Amino acid sequence: MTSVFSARGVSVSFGGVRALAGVDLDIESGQLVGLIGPNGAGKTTFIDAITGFVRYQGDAALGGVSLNGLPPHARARRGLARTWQTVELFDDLTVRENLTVAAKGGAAAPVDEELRLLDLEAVADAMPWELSQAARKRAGIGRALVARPRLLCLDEPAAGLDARQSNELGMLLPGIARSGTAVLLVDHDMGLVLSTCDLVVVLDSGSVIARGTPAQVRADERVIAAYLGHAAAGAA
Amino acid sequence: MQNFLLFAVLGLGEGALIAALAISVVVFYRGSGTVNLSMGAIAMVASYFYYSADSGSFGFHPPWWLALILTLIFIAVLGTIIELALFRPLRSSSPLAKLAASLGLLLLAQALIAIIYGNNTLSPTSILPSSTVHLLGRTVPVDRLILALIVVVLAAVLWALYRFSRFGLATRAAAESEPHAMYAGLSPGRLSLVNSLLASVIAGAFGILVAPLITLNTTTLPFEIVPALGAALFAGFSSLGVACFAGLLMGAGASLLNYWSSQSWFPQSQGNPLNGLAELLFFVLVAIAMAWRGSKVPARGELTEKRMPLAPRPENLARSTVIALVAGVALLIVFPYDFRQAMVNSMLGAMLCLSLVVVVGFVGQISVVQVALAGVTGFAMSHMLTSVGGVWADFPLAPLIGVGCALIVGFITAVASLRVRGVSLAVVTLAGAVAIEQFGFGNAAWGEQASGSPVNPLHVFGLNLSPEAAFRGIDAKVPSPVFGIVVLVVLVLLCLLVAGIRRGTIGQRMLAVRSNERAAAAAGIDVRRVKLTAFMVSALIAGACGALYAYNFETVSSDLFGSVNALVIIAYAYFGGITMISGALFAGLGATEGLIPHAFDRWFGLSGNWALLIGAVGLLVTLVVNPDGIAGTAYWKRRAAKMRAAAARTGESEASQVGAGATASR
Repeated sequence: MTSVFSARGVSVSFGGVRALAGVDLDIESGQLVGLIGPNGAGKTTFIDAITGFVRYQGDAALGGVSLNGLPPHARARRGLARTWQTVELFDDLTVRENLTVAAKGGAAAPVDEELRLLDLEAVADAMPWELSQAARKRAGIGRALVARPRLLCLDEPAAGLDARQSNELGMLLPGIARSGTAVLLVDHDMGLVLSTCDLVVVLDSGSVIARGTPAQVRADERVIAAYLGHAAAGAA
Repeated sequence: MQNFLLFAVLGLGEGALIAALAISVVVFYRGSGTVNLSMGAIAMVASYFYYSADSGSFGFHPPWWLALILTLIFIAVLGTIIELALFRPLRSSSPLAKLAASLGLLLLAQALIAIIYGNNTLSPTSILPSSTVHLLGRTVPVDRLILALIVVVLAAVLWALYRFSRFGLATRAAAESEPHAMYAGLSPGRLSLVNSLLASVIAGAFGILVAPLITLNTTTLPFEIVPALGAALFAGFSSLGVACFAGLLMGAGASLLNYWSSQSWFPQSQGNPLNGLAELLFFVLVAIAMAWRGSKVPARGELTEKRMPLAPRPENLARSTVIALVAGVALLIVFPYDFRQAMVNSMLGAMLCLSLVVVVGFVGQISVVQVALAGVTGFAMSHMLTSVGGVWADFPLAPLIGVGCALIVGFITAVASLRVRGVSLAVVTLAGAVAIEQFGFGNAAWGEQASGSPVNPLHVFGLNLSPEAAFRGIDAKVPSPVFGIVVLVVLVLLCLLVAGIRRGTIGQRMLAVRSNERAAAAAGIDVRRVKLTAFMVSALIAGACGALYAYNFETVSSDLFGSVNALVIIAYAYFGGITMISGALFAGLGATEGLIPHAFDRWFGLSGNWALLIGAVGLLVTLVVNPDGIAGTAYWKRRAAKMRAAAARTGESEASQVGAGATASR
């Protein structure tokens, strides 16, 4: 399979601090990739960089076309969608309008479809601040999906959800990937990432320290060390 | 060189006032996170109070020092009342609401002073010595030097207070993060009160000291806030030293510019010195400060921050259009001539508010320049008559060219808005509006002409549609209802345009940008293009309004398009509901010489100043009690009723989707 997205040597520095150090990543169409790592590893910074919200060195390409130098809205129009750690819905628009404003040409059909798939039909005319946290999360994902992106970056979609809501979210993700949209999932909920993703990439201090299937990553000593410390890794 | 020194020193008087107001703005901002436009007005109130006390208007003649103390006590009490009754309830409101509150105070102070003292200029006696000293071969007044010294010492003392005292540390902590300050046992409310008092007393004291050197009336001191905001911007709303020196330099620079403008080598306007150079200088400096510091103005870590009022989707357009047209035409025919004229004025005011609905209500860009854009159109039309003539002075070319000029100025404003937003944009557009008023409209070569600025009557392909048209309504008097109907039709079309924008994709994009520019960009929205579109649509509406204003009176006057009117229009727009078309229509009722002011005048004998007072009080009460404006509150009541009905129909099935605290979160 060919990569729908590729990153080569993506590096980000904030002043003297190197947040990302030459990250390479390939994601195939319909693939569900998990990006994990301890706090401060650079996971959100990687999403911020490839979606155009943070300046970076290196190359990022979508469908073989370089994204370098493009502003965020231009990347979104080329098929790179994202959600945010804190749900950033448009509070002045209804749920339906939140989705419509992101749909190509304001088309109604994909909006109705996403509202149905994400179980948001009943609250389509409600304002975002009238929704429960789980519904807000789903609305955020719906807004990202309605433009039919080629790659969807989800930044901690399970944050703030309880175990049942997190499970329900996890069940949505394979369906999104099966529809052809590649998914890059960043989350602290290891259960969610390891149970849903095809490929898991582990970042530590801005660098990739491991990549593989969930089983391979779970057994990787560098990953255990990164999460639990070197002493624990040795004991394991 | 000697004249350079003399005029620079002469400018230190106004410079000290600008510096002191800038310092008070910074102190107030540190305490409450509000950019207070009313500090100049507080200086004005203090000056008038001191004038009354010093001249024996209170029944006794106190010595100057006692009058000064009494005035400062009065200002301290006034500052306390303002803080507790207005700014404290608004602590968690949107920046626009806080700005509007300070604007309401400014207008309230102007109206009260005008009602009590009239609109005449007063000459208070100076506390400072009027002697002179010899400096580098020139005789310079000593009072300017003393003022400069006082403001520099004040800045140094305040710097030490904030740097070394526990109060200063607490203020800085609360400005950084109110929640964390509260966890540490500090009271942001109390800190805000003390800082507000400090700011008010500083502004009041310098108003008293400087008023004898400049003109004491209802506009000069309040509008010294414009350069003061520029100095505060240079200071990043935090550095007292930079605010002080920027203010002094601005005063000296303005004085030098006025001196140079009187020299033969300096460009002139029809043989006269250019007017409004100081205001132009202040605008340029504010723009430079904005470009340099605009994005660095410290944001405040507040406990909560409410958003702007909701901008609901307009419904029932066909029904509303028919009702508006039928009722409007009927009223124009039936009304007596004076109310007919007032209704036309109200419709024109509603048009200006409509332009604010697009740019402020939909996109959240606080622009004060809309009234000036209307003026640009009017003066361009007048110059087409006086300078070009022929078909260029008639419909449709004259209004088209006028609106084109407004679009150009609107585009320039829009480009500025790409770099700054919110309150910062309000500051730069206020400075722009004052510069356009003084420099743009105040010079005969391109603005108001000495013999008046006439405009050809509105004749559309030979058909007389002007206020002198043949059909005169039931009372057979001018203005003709025909012109009113033209204004009504244009207003309805513009309302439909704005409704179409809100209902369409572009309106959703505007609201997305207003909500969250970062998320809007991630959703594929070109934020710059959306802002530019909003500014251009808004300029188009303001331009159309300016053309109709010009046809209304068949002459153009800079009084109509001044900064005070610009602020009044914003006040009324917020009062009516700045995010809704119906809000603009409500606001129009109270516009200058509109239906409500005219009714007050006709029925109760209350003049324009009373209308200004009522508008200001209405704005302040609305902000505290009813932050969504009249139209917004009516919408919320309808929506709540609709939701209750829907809940009753669908039972509890939706309840699980909806957060329990939804209403409370608003």
